[in-house]
Amino acid sequence: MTTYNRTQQPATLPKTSILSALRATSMLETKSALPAEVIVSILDYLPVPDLMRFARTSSRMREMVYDDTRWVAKLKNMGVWNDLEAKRRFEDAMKRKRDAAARTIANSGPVPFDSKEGSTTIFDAAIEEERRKIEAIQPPRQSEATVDGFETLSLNPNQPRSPFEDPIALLEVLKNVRSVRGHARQEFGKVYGALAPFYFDLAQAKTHTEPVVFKVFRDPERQAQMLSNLQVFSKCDLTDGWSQRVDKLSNMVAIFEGAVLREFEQGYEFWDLDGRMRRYAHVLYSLNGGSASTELFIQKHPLFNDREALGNPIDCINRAPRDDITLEPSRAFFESLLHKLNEQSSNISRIFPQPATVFWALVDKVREDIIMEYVTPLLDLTHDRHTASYLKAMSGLFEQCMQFVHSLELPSGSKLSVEDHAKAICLKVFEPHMDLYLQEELENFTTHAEREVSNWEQKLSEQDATVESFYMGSFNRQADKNDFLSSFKKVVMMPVSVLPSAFGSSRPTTTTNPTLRPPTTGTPSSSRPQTPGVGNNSERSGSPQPSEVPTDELKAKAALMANRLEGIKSLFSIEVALDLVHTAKESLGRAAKFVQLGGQVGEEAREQCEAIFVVLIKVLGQTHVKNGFGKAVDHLSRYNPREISDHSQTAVAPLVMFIELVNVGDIISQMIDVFYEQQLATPKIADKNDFMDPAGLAKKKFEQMLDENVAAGLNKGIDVLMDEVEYLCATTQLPTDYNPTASSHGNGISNGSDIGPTVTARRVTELVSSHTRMLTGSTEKTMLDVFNGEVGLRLFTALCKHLKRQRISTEGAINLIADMTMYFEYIRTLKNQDLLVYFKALRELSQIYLIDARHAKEMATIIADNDRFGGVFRAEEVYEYAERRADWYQVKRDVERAIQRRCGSTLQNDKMAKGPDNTKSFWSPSARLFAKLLALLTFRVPSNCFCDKNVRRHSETVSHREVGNEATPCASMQATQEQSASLLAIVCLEIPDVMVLRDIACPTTSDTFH
Amino acid sequence: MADNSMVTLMAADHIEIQATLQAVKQCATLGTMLEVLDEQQTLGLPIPVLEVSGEALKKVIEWCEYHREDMVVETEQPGVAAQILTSLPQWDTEFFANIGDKDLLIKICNASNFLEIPLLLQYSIFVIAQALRGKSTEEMRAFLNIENDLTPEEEQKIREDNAWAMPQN
Repeated sequence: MTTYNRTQQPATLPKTSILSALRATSMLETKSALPAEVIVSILDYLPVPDLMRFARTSSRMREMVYDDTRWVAKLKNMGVWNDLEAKRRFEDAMKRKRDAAARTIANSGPVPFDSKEGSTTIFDAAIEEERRKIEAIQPPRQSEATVDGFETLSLNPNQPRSPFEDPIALLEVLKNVRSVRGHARQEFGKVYGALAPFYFDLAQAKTHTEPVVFKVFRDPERQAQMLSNLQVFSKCDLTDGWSQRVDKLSNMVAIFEGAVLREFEQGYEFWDLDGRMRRYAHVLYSLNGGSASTELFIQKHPLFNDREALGNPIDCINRAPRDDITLEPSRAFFESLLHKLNEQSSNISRIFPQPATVFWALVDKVREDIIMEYVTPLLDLTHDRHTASYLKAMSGLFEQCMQFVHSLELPSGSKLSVEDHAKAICLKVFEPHMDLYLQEELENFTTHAEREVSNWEQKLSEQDATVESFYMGSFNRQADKNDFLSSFKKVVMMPVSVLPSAFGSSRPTTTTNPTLRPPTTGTPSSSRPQTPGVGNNSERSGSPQPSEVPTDELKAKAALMANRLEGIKSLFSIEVALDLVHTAKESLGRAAKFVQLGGQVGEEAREQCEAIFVVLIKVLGQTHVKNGFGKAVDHLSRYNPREISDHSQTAVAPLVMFIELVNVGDIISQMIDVFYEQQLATPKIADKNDFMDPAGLAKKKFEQMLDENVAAGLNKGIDVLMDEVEYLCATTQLPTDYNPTASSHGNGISNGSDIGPTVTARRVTELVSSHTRMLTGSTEKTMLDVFNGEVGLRLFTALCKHLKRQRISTEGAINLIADMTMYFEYIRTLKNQDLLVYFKALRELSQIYLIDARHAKEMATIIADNDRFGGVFRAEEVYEYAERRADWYQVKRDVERAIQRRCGSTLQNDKMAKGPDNTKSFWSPSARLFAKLLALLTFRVPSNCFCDKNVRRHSETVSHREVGNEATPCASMQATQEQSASLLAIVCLEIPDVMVLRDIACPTTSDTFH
Repeated sequence: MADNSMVTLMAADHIEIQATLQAVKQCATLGTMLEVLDEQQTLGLPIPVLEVSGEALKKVIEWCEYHREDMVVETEQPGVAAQILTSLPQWDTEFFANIGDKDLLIKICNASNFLEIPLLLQYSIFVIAQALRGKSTEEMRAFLNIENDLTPEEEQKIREDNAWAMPQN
């Protein structure tokens, strides 16, 4: 604030006395000046002429007034300053300067003014500057006037009245403003010079005839243009009294607008499209965008007068059968509306300078007054009457409406795309109904699905629920399933039509009227209770076709499939599943249309679509499939082979049923998967990559549920299968099979003289193989491998057990070998190497019965030959089997002696072979025996319980090691029992698999040592 | 502390002026100073305001006393221009009309700028702008005590450059 004090010069003071200097200092204090920032704010309050006078007070003040930001702000207020343009110009100028500098250096001469450069850009600050310089140098032809950039013709200070002489230039003045940094004041000057006289003149005018505006410009187009310019200009007027001036101006504009609008209206009444309407619409547009004329045009439009002619929404209900709806009348309605609007489209183009805006405004009005008046009552009515038709109406009308907007013929110049308009319009029409609709859609589907399932269950309970099924013969499941699924895929991919689908209305007859196809192969199902549908048997025996000709491919396939899968009809129905999927597809198809609306409503629709899918899976999975599996597993666990009288079939009925179930479950799962892919993932309703997505979660849960049930069922299934195997072995194997008396060959052998497997073996093989075959292709490969492995191992155990019950003579050994070979051959089809080892050993084992009693030594060799049995049987075990020889007591002594002789050496060979563990050769004999016993023990435990070889090997080495460490010094038989128990505990700890077997093993241990 | 407790201000020419604390707090500068200092200790002491003459300070305090109930206007954002005034309230119009002397007006303006009384500053700026309106260049110069450092040629150039702003002459 002291700056100005310092610049005070005594020169301005009167030089009256010698003391003047002193007085001046004292006066310095009284005369105060203002700091720059205060002066800047003062300037904000000054009108333009005052500003310019102020600029002359001093050079500092001039800088302050000339400051570019002040004028840029004013231009910005008017909306004619463009920052981007200014920046671009500035950068261009900089570039040019650099280029020029470079050229100067290159030419080492004066810069030649290059007019070519100017032609590339509209305006260039640098060139402008240069030109100005050139002009300044030129002889003083108005030099002072143009030196600051005011070369504009009409605004030359020498021709102050020029604006009134050149009115056209005035009209364009706002458009010609250029955004040049550093020249904002000059640009503003042009505008001010052009508009300020009119503006202040108008502000002082008393009546609407007085202002110069209306005198200078006679025709309404220019008057409107000028008024519009003045309105823009008024925005930069912020000095005292601006509000009165602006009010005055807007009053004037309103009067003018009213007058023009009256003209327009008159033209409208005479339908003078190209004459008055067009002219005044353009006038109004240039005045203020023409909203008044647009409003008037729409309000008085004849389109809204004959609404009735377009159609009555009730027709849609009246013309349709009861509880249904036809959308033909609504289609006609939209069509006639479309026709009328398209007519208007061309009219609007003729009248208005901004046809797109007017047209969309008209369409919006049509939407509000006509479409909504049509749609809302129709929807309300259908909602009250019947939900299904409501749902159909909602999505049908939506589609028609979308279609309608898309087929509008647009006048050119629309800002938004048709798509955006269509969305906006449909959103406005249908938004009030959306919540209700989505809720109804979900509810409708849920109730339908639940009703279907419970209907079906009720029907089932009316029949005998515990009905047992039978094997339907060998057909190619894999091919059938693929066939079925491919047609399913085709149908799913078909677009959902709004019109009634073949699936929604009529349910496949085979479900409602279950019929049985008599078995084409296999044995009669005498043990099977009859089902109600059995009366139809004759009519369709041997033919998979249902009585009603299927209306399409999928239905036919479904019927075929249902016939094939007769066996599990009592558990769950693929047709119910199919029906549910179709209803879901319809619901989804309807609801998914609304997803395209986007925004919140679209999101809600999308969520509802997912909800429908989740419900589908819930109903299908949790209630339908899960119950089915539950029942099947229940049947399985209740199965007792001894209670079933008829074992002539090659299959265990409940297991077959279960396996069928697995097949169907797999089909349903694949169906769901296809459905998910086609209906949810492809149209982006559900996000596959989002692990929290409810649809994806539900699907995963469903698949998991299916897997769990299959696993649980298979577990039970194996038990059942083995029960059956054991039962077969126990009941069909005759004592004479393997021990034929001299007189009669075992009657179990199919053909007396023929050598071949016994009936038992054949039956067992057939039984097991038929079941394992059935699963192929229905579940995962790994699951199947596990299942097969388990079946094989347990078959092996069952056979071992069975073998120990038999007494085998040398002649019977041939039969036995034939049996074992048969099992082996069967196991080979499973392609499981581990299993094959067991059955190979079994086959080898059966050869010990073939050895003649005279060759006891050879027998001993075989018994002691571990390699022969691939590690499956130990010598001790083989010995046990050898006991089953019919002539055992005759050969026992010889064999035992031979074994004992061999045993020691073998054992030592073993030890030597084991290499590094040489300490064992120093074991005392008792310790060695103990180790052997333990090895036997640990060997037997896992082999009985199907632990695999690794576990067994592991436990063996452990036991060896433990014995080596602890038992060697004083291994007495008394001490060993305790030790063995602790050893076993250690073994158990090391190998968790053995843990469960401890209870079985312990008594054996104690027995052995007592 | 009671809001009507008195504070003594001391102006440049050692004139002491009594003011209520509330009024003083209209000045952001003094208000902040009182907040920072321990009020109990400084209460009896006169506050030196040596940059402001007694005459001006008297008027400023007069204005503050009248406006002490008003909220202190927050004009912390320098980027946002204060609202453009169109007129002053009745009392303030009279207050400024009574000042008469333009130098005193400028001093008040400076004082309010120094003491940070945003509203008073805005008002005085408005009043000065009103006074400047319609004045000739020379009158403006005299009014604001501005030294002319322009040559007549320069002055003439400015006049010609901006002739568009003065359609009358």
